[in-house]
Amino acid sequence: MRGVTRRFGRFAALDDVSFDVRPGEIVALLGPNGAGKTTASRIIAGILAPTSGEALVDGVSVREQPTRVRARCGFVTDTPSLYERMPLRDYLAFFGRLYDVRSPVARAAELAEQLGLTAVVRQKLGTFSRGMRQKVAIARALVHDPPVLLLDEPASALDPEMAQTLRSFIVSLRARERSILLTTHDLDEAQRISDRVVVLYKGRVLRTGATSEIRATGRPTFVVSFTGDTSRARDALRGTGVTPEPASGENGYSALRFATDDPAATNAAVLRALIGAGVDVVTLTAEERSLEDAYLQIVRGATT
Amino acid sequence: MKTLRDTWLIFGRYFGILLGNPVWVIIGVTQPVLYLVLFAPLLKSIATVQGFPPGGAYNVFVPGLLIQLGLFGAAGVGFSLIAELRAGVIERLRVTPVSRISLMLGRALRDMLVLLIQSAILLLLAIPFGLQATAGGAAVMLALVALVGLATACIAYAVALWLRSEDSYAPLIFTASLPLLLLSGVLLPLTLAPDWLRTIADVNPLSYAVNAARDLFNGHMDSPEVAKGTLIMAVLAVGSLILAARSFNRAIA
Repeated sequence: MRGVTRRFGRFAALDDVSFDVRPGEIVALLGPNGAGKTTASRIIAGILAPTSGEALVDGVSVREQPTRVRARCGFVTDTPSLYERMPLRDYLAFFGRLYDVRSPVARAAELAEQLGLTAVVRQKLGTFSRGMRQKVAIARALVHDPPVLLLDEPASALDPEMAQTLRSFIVSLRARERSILLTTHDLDEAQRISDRVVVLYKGRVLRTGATSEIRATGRPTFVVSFTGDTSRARDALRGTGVTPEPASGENGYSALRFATDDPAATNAAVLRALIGAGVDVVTLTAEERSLEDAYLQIVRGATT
Repeated sequence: MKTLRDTWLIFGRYFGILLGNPVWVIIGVTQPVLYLVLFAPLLKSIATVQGFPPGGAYNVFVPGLLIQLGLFGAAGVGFSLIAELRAGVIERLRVTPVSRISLMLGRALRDMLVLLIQSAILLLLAIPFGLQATAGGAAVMLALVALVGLATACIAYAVALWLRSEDSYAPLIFTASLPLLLLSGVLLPLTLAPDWLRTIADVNPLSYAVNAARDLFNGHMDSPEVAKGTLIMAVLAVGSLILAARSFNRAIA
């Protein structure tokens, strides 16, 4: 997307949004409700025209050739929306024909096999479980082997086992050089499988970068674990300039967390102060932040 | 070429749904059959009244009944579209490269086919009651019903896309259909109506379809009324299809 703005009347659902998804990459599109995630997905899918700016899918303009764009995208949402009375094979073959797939029945069988649905290929979709239905939705989106896959909350409402299966399948698609845009509120899922993150807020890009970079957003935090009383350690840290907070220590040790902009100087000062006060330090480790922590910090920063 | 192929695929899909539950074809023809059995005999006694069109009660009433079937049979098609919109089924079709007009035309052609089957059933049932028609007249009549059905279905789809609620759709579409029906002379010929009513009926395109239908059943296939009624309904059908296709593209965008 290059400078895409989409207005609905006076309301700008997207305002000068730019980001890209490269082949073989999973990009998580994050943001609170109303941030413009679905609008962005629909523009890329070729079913919504941008008011201004340009979106290119596999080099094809959504504004100038939306039909060709649609032929290059697979779209999965949290609602499978299937034809309940149709058997799986007929359903996938029907969509294969809509996408001009050369051998739609063979392709339907191939996808059913890839998703572990071969045993139910003649079964009507109305009898499928929630997880199976979502698998069918993914198979439908892949029926024409598109280079771009748009996944809008694909694993929501699935049990953990089925969600894990779907995630593994999505990751396997990355290996096949698909460009995958994952729209989700599940930050754990985004952290597990996305290579890069785009955070939208009120229609604008708030932050974009590699998932690891985004997780490193803000002041680095460290956890020091030690034996003995926490109050003694707190007293020892008074002169170091850090503000210790309680942390959960492992193996029965006590622990304190602190943040610093200058780990080289501060960590040495912390260790000196604790050891000088007779505190037996066990470990001092950099705390790995979750994507959720980083995301919340980014979004809260935008609201204040 | 692609539009034709896409239309065929969409038609096939919706025809498949129909085959899965063909009982609705029979249920749809029940009401006209009840009119045929319980209402048409009443017209026998007034068929001799001055101003009643020539041809006898059934040759006057059955053509109107067929046009009524075309109107009411197609007026309800928006319900299924609203349900599919809500279920996300339409969105799944819209993300495919299928032509937008095919998404609409494929559905409407299925609706037309249902009407043709129902009309043929009604025609066959009317023959023992005394309906007289040539094969050519009946064939053109079916084409006329198909045009009425196509126009009505497309307008119904456009209204459904606009309202997106069964609660609003039902009263609007059926309230709008009733004056169209009454002012077309379906139940009683407008030749019996006062001048002011006939003047209003002149702006109702359906009245031209009814007049054309009656001439067809009276063996006047080359009458100007047949040409006029068929042309008006053809233009209306094409216009409605364009309106519906545009609504389809805009409403879900």
